Amino acid sequence: MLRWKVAPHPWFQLLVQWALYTAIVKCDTPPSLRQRPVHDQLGLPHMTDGDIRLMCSNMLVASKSGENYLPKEYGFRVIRSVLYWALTSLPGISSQATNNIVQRYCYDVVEEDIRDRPPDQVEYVAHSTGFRQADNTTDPEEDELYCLFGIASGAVDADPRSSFDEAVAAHYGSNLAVPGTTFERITSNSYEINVSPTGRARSSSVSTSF
Amino acid sequence: MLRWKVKPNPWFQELMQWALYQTILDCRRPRYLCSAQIHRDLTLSHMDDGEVDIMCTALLRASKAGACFRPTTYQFLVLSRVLDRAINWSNGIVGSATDSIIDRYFPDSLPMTDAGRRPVVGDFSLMLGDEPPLNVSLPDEERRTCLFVDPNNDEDDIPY
Repeated sequence: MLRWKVAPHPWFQLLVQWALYTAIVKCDTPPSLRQRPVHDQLGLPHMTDGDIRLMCSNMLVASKSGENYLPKEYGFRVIRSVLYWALTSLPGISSQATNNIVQRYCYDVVEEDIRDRPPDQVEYVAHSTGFRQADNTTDPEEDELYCLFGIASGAVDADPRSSFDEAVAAHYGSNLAVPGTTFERITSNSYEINVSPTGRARSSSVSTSF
Repeated sequence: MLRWKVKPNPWFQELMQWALYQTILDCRRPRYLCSAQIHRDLTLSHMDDGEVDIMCTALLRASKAGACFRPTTYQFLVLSRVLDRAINWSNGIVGSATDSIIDRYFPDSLPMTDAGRRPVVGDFSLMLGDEPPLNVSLPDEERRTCLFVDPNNDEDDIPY
């Protein structure tokens, strides 16, 4: 799974995976249909649609793994954009939903560090980490109501920050001695994604099929 | 692949598979996200989203197979609706595109009255079929004609 600030509830994992699938399929839109480029719609001007597809595919595969994979800052930025894009057009979802989710689940991203540059090669992969995720003390239903619909409850007041944050901050700041993880083919119930070795490979190296 | 009226050109296979992917994903949207009821978008009132998902998944798998699979008339109906929905989202595609594609690739006698009944068990799987006749049209020209030329109004043609 992806390594979040706190252990993700199932509703959130499902949402992230669905949003990643959606972004991947959007990146595969046939050129004949003349859609606006996905990187333009996501506000990621330093990435091509192929780059986005590769990063989303890597994160989707990681999210389905039994191990913890920690996205890099750029990965969290892409996840945030993908979530916003997936949620923004849906009726009934709070306009603050993405912010609520980011606040609860995502590590802080220093925008200045990544805003004006494309992702580095190492930022296309999440890195395996032995750190255990902080427990999520919120009730799943209340967590969902708060994040998606802005309905707060007295029970939803846990501060998900933990001492682990410091370790993550150090991890981000380092030169990443951890080598890039090569994701192997992972088969889920109904969807397969093949991801090439790590790095900024061409989008054609990633294929999806139901 | 699917058994169309003629052998499909790559642009059409790509478009059809993408439209199926998109529909399947929409059907699998998490329930708490105020599901849009895709069967209503597709005006398939006798199906639910789960059935649309199952049928489109079967069609997508068949379309990627090496062998040739013949859709049922109900499946052709669903394919036409899925295609129309994808085309309607697109920029710069003429409004007549779905009709042009149906005319070129779908069986001549497609009974659209199928929309008035529930699909039967056999509509959720596909049977092996024979190879379609060769497609003599040039891929680029065919794509231009189907997607960017309105046969009823030359003025509406979109620069290609």
